[in-house]
Amino acid sequence: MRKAYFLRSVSIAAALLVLVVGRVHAQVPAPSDRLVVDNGAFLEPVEERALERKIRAYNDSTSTQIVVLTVEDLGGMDAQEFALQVGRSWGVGQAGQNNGVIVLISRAERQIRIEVGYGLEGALPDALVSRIVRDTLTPAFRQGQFFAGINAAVDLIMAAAAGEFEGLPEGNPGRSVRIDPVFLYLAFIFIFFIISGIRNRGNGGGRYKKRRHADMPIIFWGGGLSGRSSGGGFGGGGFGGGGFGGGGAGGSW
Amino acid sequence: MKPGLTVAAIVLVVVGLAFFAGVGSYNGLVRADEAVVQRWADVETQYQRRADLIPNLVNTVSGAADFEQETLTAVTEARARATGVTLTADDLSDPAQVEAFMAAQQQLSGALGRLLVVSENYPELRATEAFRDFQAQLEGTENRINVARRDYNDAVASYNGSVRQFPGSIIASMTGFDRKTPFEADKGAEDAPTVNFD
Repeated sequence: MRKAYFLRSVSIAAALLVLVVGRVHAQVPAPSDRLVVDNGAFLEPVEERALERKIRAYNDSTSTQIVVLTVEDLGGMDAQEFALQVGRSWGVGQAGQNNGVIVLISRAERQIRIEVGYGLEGALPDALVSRIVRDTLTPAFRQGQFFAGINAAVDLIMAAAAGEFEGLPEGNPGRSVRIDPVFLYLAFIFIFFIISGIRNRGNGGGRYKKRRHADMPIIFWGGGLSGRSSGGGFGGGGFGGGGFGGGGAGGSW
Repeated sequence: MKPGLTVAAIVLVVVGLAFFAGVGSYNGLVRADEAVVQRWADVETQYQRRADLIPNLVNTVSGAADFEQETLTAVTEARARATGVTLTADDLSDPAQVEAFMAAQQQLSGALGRLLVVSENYPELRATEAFRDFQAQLEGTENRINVARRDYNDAVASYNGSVRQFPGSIIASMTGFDRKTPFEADKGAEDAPTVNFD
């Protein structure tokens, strides 16, 4: 009786732990500075480099960002869910244009998912993406032709998205910094009291009179109000923060 | 400093702090409210998109020889009901209205799911490019609905949090911000139409 109770609590605790860990999305890999990430080992190094070059050139000239990500397994997640989280957490595509595409391939589940950013849903409607998966990726994968399939699919995506967006000027626009009014007010009060304190001391004693100038607290503001900070990201073709809303299609081979 | 002046200064500080905290909190509520309305608009757009797909679907399917009329009629009727139940951003604080909206949409999900199951009996229909495209579009729309609903729920959770927590709760009750209703995970979610390419 006691033992059964103990076992049950342990299994419940384990289940809760799995739930908690699952919520952290530990499975989604962290972004690197590459657009082709072959964690599932589908590509030869030469093929990987060729694909990376092609996709990066396309990214630089059109700002449309394609990511090819292969994984060993999806860690129990749905392929669509996985791709969406990668897109959102990496920020694939440019902010404002939302022109990112993720080609996700998982070895263990034999799943394919092409996730399309908001901004490309017109150029890459689900039906078209589904055809790419059905007619290009799936048949090639069934014959073990992974590079040929991915390469052809990337070509089709590039052709469909061509002319949708212009290349972007270099550099990210920074984010503006919000200043809490409460903080502003506190700072104001703080300075007010410092000034009046100094004045009082200055008027009363005379001992500090000579140093009054040096203590002027206005320097507290130095830099605190500057409005912009750099948006981060890595140099040259980093991810720009595009949005995803669940568009795209998938399949299995 | 004279004692009177000190008291005046303290009162000024307290009143000023309360005022600025109130303004900050109010602005936060407005932002959270805007986010909910925006996410809600996304959800509505995706449901509308699904409703727009259906006439095309009915045309594609009724072209197939003797497709079950019952199933088709069920879809058309469910669509009419679903588009009849509208929900404005103001109704989001009313759980009953949100529930009615979701129930109508769920009925449509069910009817569409049944149609996909029945279509298994018509292999020549399923082989057509038009039907496959339609399936991809339907699946994509269901995906977008799920994503939009989750984003909406996240926005509602953060909004409700600021409405209920101190000091936002005081400002919220003074300025008329009500709690909003998240979508319950629906029982039919796991029966959402899936596409099998084999």
